[in-house]
Amino acid sequence: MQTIVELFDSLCHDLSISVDDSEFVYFIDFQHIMDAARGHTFSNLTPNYRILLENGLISLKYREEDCTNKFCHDYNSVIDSLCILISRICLELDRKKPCNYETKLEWFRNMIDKPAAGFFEAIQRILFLNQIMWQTNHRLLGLGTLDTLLDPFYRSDTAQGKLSKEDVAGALQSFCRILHQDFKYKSNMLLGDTGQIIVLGKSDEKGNYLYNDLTILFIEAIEKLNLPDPKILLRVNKNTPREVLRSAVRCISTGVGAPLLANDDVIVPQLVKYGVPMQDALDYTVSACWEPLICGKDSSLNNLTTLNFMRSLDNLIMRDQLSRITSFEDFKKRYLKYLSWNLNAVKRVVGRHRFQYDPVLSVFMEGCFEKRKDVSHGGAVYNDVGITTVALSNTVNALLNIKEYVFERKLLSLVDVKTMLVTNFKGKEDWIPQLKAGDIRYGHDEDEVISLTNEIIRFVTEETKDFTTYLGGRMKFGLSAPSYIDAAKVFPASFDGRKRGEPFHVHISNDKAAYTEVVNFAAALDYGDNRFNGNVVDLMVTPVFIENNFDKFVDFVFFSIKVGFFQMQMNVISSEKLIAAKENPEAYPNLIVRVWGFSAYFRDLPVEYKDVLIERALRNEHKVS
Amino acid sequence: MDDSARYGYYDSFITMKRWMENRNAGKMLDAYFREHGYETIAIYGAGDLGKLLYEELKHTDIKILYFVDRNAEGLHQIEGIPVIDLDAVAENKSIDVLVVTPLGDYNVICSELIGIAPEVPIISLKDAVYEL
Repeated sequence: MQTIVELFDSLCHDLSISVDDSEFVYFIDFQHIMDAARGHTFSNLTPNYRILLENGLISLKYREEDCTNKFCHDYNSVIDSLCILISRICLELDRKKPCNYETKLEWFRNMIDKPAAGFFEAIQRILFLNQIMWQTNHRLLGLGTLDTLLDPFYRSDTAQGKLSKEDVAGALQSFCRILHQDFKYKSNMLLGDTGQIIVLGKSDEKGNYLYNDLTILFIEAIEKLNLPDPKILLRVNKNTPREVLRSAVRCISTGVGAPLLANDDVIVPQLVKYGVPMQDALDYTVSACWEPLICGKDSSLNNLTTLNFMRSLDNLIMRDQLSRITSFEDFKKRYLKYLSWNLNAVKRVVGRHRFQYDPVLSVFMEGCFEKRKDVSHGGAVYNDVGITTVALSNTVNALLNIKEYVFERKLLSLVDVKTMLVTNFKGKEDWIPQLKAGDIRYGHDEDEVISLTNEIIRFVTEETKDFTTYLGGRMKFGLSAPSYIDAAKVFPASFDGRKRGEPFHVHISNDKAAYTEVVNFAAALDYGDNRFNGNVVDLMVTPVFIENNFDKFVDFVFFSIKVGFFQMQMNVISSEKLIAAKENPEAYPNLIVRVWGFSAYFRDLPVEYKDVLIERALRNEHKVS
Repeated sequence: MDDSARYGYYDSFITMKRWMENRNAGKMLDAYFREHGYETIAIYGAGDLGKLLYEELKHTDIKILYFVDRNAEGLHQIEGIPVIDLDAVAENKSIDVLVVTPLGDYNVICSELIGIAPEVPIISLKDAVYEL
């Protein structure tokens, strides 16, 4: 059997090279995707593009005398193989002579032994590394902090008059189009779920906001292209200039679902408290959707499995001696006990996970070279693990209902509740509206809800804080998950008024509450300790609302940053358009919506996802209760 | 074989795999039941998994009061332990939990039990094996 290094070498010799008249060279040979099938391949991360921008490949190698272990030899072999591939690309460019081939030839030749010399060359290197990662079956690949990475090249080229802002704007659009072209192959669970996220903007140590021309140019490129992928995440803080926020809101208002806003004022301090040095924390990006990740240094698989908060409540109701529970405090304690048992199952899944040996990724992951260790052996600087969570909103609401109807008003016994749930509210449908109603619900700025939510999530921390993986990594979790539909499909009814199979609520959302109330609620949640693995406020907004209140909406975003949301994303679309697009997809081929943590064509979504969006839009517009 | 049958076999395989992993790690189900406060149990299903569960528990301090099986009339008893029909749980309900061993039938059995003895706690063997 071939070793991983031999497999990669064969790949570099065999894969089919295609060059054309595009501005940049980028190809994935789908017949030669490297699938060693020897364990779990790293994914959901961002390789260190900076390494390839600042160095020629040869200079990354260990000196012969420093090759002290197998990994060092494998690492060097990977670089040799990459150089062979680059030579083959050069030969193909020379043979086919596509548009601008001499410049492209120079870009690729330089890649072997020189740092990138200009803005376009830097973009070509990012694309090359990105295609290598896809070719070697690393999925859900982030692009990194591109405005920061590319800025020195941009400044130098524009200062020397080699490039105009318009040239750059055009190049960024080409770059995005190229990344988008294989989106069907790149998609994971749903079409559009590619993980291709570009992170823009950042903060410095003093809380100043850092951005540049490229920040705005990238946002404008996404706005103009109207493509669901790649997607952008804009880091913001309370000092973010209005110009940047206006640009972001303009892009969001097109309905493209981007940028997702990530609040440095909340995220950076949490990373630092978790033990990440400030300089690294300031460089965070995210995994495929929203889980903070230290760019180019972090091999953490941040969405390894999902904790379903409702599972523990259902288990309690089904398995416990309900007659012995006499108060809500007792009931809550029992819930937490069941939650700890559920977490045992989660820890077991996470604990058994093993990665495949990966010297290709190791070349582009900081820490591996220094430690002389493969990324699968803990070479990266950070090796934590993350889980997502689902149904916290439904669970909090169900607990509050049990408190009210069983223990305070004594209208029902716990066995009555159990019977309702097992029978899917048969003959008790009249209970559903009142279980769903109420002013004290998840997403409302009410002390009781906030306190209960924080008590549950802090408990998860207590139960997970001592867990370590085989690489010594710790476990993080967040309050957002993509599984609000899949995890609910065969899940029994729940006492928040949800019938069997109906979806769980989306992230941190409440489509009936005012936007400011949801933001206040989100800001009051405790994202400390290990609770920072993605916490997204998800809003539905009508286009008319933004059109008529553009400046006020920018004010709202600014206010929300100051209040302290963790992350925020929104769909800007009307229920009317969604319903029309569902009925007549041919008339809306390019309609884009935000799902999970990515944007997708509405036409490509399974019907249940379409229905969730329609129902949420209707609730937001107060057309249904 | 249709998808649901294929999934059923896969589910059984994974559950058995985890059960075996538990045993290799010295984790036995009696400890799980004790931790959950289940001292007296009934086993739903006197088939392969039900009997394996019985074998694991029979020399422990977890008391198996009865089996529940659709073929209660035919089986009558196993090693002196009575096998009853689900309907009879109402009269024999002094158990801490009913452990359901047919993995794919848990929801159906929950629905049936709720009409007969709603206060009786119920757990799937799969969950116990996973959470141990």
